[in-house]
This record gives sequence, C-alpha cells and structure tokens, in this order.
Amino acid sequence: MAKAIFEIPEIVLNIAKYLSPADLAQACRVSRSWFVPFVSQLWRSIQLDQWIDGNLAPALPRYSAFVRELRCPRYIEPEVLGAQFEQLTLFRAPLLDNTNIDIFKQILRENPNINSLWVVFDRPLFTANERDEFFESVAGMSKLRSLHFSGLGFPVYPGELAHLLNKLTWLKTLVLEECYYSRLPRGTEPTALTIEQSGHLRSLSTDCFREDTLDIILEITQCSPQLEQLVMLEATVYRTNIMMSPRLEWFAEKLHSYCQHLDQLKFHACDLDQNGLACLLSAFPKLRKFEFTDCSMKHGEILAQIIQHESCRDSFEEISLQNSSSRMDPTCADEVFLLLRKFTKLKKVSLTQCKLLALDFVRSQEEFGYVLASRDLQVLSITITGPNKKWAPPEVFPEKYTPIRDDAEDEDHDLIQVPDYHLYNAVMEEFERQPKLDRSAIRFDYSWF
Amino acid sequence: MKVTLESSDGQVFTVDKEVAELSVIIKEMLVIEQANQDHPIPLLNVGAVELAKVIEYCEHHRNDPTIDDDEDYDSRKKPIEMDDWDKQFTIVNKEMMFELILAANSMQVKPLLHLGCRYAADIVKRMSPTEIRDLFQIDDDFTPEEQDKIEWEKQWTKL
Repeated sequence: MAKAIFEIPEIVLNIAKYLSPADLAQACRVSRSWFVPFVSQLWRSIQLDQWIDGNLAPALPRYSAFVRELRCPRYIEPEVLGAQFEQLTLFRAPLLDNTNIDIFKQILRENPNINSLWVVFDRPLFTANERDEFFESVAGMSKLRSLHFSGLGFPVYPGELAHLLNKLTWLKTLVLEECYYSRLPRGTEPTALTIEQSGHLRSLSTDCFREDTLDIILEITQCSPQLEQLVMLEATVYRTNIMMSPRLEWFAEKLHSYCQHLDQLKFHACDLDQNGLACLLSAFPKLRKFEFTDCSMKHGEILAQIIQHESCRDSFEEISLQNSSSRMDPTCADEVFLLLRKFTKLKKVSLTQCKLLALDFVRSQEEFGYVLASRDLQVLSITITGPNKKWAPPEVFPEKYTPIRDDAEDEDHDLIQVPDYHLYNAVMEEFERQPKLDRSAIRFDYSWF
Repeated sequence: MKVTLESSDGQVFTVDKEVAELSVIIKEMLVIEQANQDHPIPLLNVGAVELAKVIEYCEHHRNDPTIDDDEDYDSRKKPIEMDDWDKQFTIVNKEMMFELILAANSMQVKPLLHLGCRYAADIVKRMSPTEIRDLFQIDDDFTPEEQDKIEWEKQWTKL
C-alpha cells in the first residue's frame, strides 16, 4: 500500500520538493523507479557553493537535461558548460573570456526560457565585432526578467545599454556593477538615442554613481519610464559618493522627468551628505521604501531628511537603517518619534540601532495622545529602554541579562513589593492598539546606571 | 448549494458546493454536468473513510485563497504554511496518510496533496536507501557498480 504512492510520478515529484539535496541523494539510490524523479529534483537547481566538491563538475554533463537553475563559479572548465542544457531558466555564467564565449552564446541560443541572467566580463576580451555579437545574443533573450552585468572594468559605450533595454522589453531588474563608462571610441560620432519602445524596467541597481558615470544611469532611466526602485551598491574601486553638487542637482531633475514612478531608494555602503540625500530624494516625491546600510551619515540626519521630505507623508511605508558596526545610535530618538507620529502609512520600521527611552515614549503619549500614527504598522524593530531593571517583567529582556539576579537585598525587596510595571504597561498599551503589529521585533532594555 | 458525493464503497456524503470545489476534478465535473445533479458524483478510487477525512480537510480550508500554479509550492523557497489544525490533522497512522495522499491525488485536492507529500518527505528524511527499502518493501534493482557510481556522483550533496 505505502509503496503505491511512490509509484505515481506526480506524487513522487511533489515529495521530492520537500527534501534537501542530501536526502534526495539517498532517495535516488533506493531503486531504478525511484532514481529519475529524485535525481531530477536534485539537479534542478545548482548553487554556487556546491561546486566546492570536485565531483559535481564531472557528473554534471550526465544530468544536464534536468538542470533549470545553473549558477557557476567564476572559473570552471569550458567542457563543463559544453554539456547539453535545454531547460535553463536561470543562468549565472562563469567569467567570460575567449575560451568560453562561444559556449556561452550557444547556451543562450538553446535556452530561450532563461529569465534570469548573470554575466561577469573579463577585461581583455572582446573586439568591436565580438561585442556586437555578445550584445545581440543577450538582446535575443526575449523572456529575460532579470539581468546582472558585472564588468570588472569592461567599458560600456553610450547607446549599448539603451539598445539592450529596447530589445528586452520584459526586463524588470537590471544590476550593473563595475562597468566604467567610456566615451566613444575615437573617430566615432555619438548617435542620438532613439527610444523605439519604452521598457518595463522596475528596478535598477548600480555602483556607477560617480561624476563620469551618471550618464549611464540617465541613459538607462531615459528608456525606463516604469522604473520604481533605485539601488546604490557598494563599489569596489571607488566608493560610491553622493555629495551635493550642481551636477547631482541636474541629475536628480533629469531622473525625475524620466521616471515618474520612482518610490524605492536603497543605499549600500555609500558616502553621502545631507544635501546630497535631500537632492536625490527630490526625484522620489512619493517615496514608499527607504533602505540604508553602512553609509556615512548619522541615523538622526537621515531621518531628519525624510521627515523634511513632506511630499511622501502619505506614501511612505518602509524604512530600514542599519550599520554593520551594530553600535547603538542614541542620538536619533527625537527624529524617530517624529517619524512615527507624522507618517500615517508606515508598515515596516526597522531601526535596530535606535534606542527610545520608555519615559520619553510615555511623555509623547501624554502630550499628543499617541506615539504611532499608522494603523498599518506590521513590524517595529526598535529598542525601548527603561530607567532600571524593575521597569518591565524580567522575561522581556534579552536572555543575557537574566542570570544577574545577585544580591540578597534585592531578593528581599521582591518579596515585599510586587512590581506593577506601570511604565511598561503604558508602553505596551500603545502597541496593543496596533491591529497588525507583530510585537516580536520590539526589544526591551534598561539603563545600567 | 449542496453537492452529493459517492465513495467507492457506496456511501453518500452531502457537502456545500464550495467545499467540494476544492477538488479540481469535482469542480470540472460540476461545470460539465450542471444540468444533471440528481445523481451523486461517483468517486471510484476513494473509500468512505478517506472521503470523510478529505471532506473534513476541505471544510476547514474552504475559505483559503486558491493556488493554481504548482510552482508556487516550490518548497525550499516558500514552504506552505502549516497551521495547528493541519498539524493535528496529520496525526494519523502512516497507512491512513498514504491513502489520503492517493485520494487527494485522484480528486486533485492540491493543498491536501502537498500537505501529504510533506508528511511523506518527513518520513524518508535522513533515511539511508536500505532503511527506505525496508520500510516500503522495495527491491534494490541496481547493480553494485551502478550503486557505486551514483554514490560517487552525489558526494557534493553532503556539504
């Protein structure tokens, strides 16, 4: 009886989806009838870290027909890629050079269903002719939804990306890393950019945020009127630098005129100043999401800019500020209270390094009648600090604190006086009024002095 | 509106139409046989015990949003949520659960099929091929050379 379910391929394929690679490898050794369904799931998706074991590459050609998602490390033998792949939907190519460029083009030809492509270039590659062929083969991937170019100094000429975007009309996400902008090869006249049809690009991530590469971004945005998200990535060679300048002002103005739907802005490891941020925000009048990781501004300064950006009061939903130093930033409490009180559509607030005093929280409650203006709040990741360790029940503090129940004097005290936690209760009352809030991300702490 | 279903052993169940329609097969039958609803819908592969259990499942999940695309279940990215009720529901013996998987498959009750498959996957998880063969009484029809080759090729899964 039990055997029966393993004899129906549809059921077995479903079961296989719930097993890890190690479990699948065991299951496909059970018998011949078990082999194909489990092995096909096992080879469906190849992750980068799985190549560490030397047995994967030699076995791959035998199972290439099952592979849908192929993520290659930078360096692999060209023979491995020479295998027959027919069902790829995701392809992360190894470093492209003269030995494997033809195989790369062949894979693209034979796998028209690829919707996600990741390409890393090698600098000395590509004559003008090879470039054209390369871009043509990528432009032929009509189902592409996500494209990631990592340049390693590979120059991008004006018009090349726009041409690509004109062809790839279903592309939603474009990531451009380490592509340095290049003036046209000597002797060539720049051609005016013609937009044949407007693309559907929704998200652009790039580290090309320097004076001389702003043109690339404008070129892309010019043919992407649907763009919603701009992500500034960490750059490896030059640090991404967003400081106020006339050129930045010009850039923000252009950006806004090309893309009317911009509402998500993210920064990863960039240098910014307050005016630069304010200038860039002007291209995002209906800002909805804002993310900021490891950048050179204080959290309070960033929040102040967002609060001043009044046009987004009714659209702003998500904010996340984070520094990998994980040090607490106590300076921004006033701004946090303002943000929570002024923005009525907030859904997710992740300020893990911000600390609010419970006393200030209650004071704000008394003064304005509320702390949280939004009724849609789902996540609030923040630390609330009380004046001493008796302000809240001990179980709400992080575990590392609990063993510190030391002196006998303290014990006696507890026996006499049952704590009533009125401060804590007042804070919790505010949270309990929130219909959608998941309270698990809120942290509680107390002052040590 | 009510619909009547007949199990393979002749027992008749009356359920709300929207409950029965969690089964893709019944939903399609109802479209075809709209005019003729005097007779119960026969389910030739499903016994009364299993059908009762399937109906119990469908009653509880009658208001769930429908998921048409099988790819949505692609588990490791997005495991389907199992609520407490589902966990209670799967506390039955293995044979019963396997019967339910077959019933869900033949009636095409997709969420129940996936719940069952997850249960079955949990059983074979971390088992060796020999243990699996013993449990399900399956014969090893590979040659020793084939076994060695497969094992060698799958080394990379042990990371």
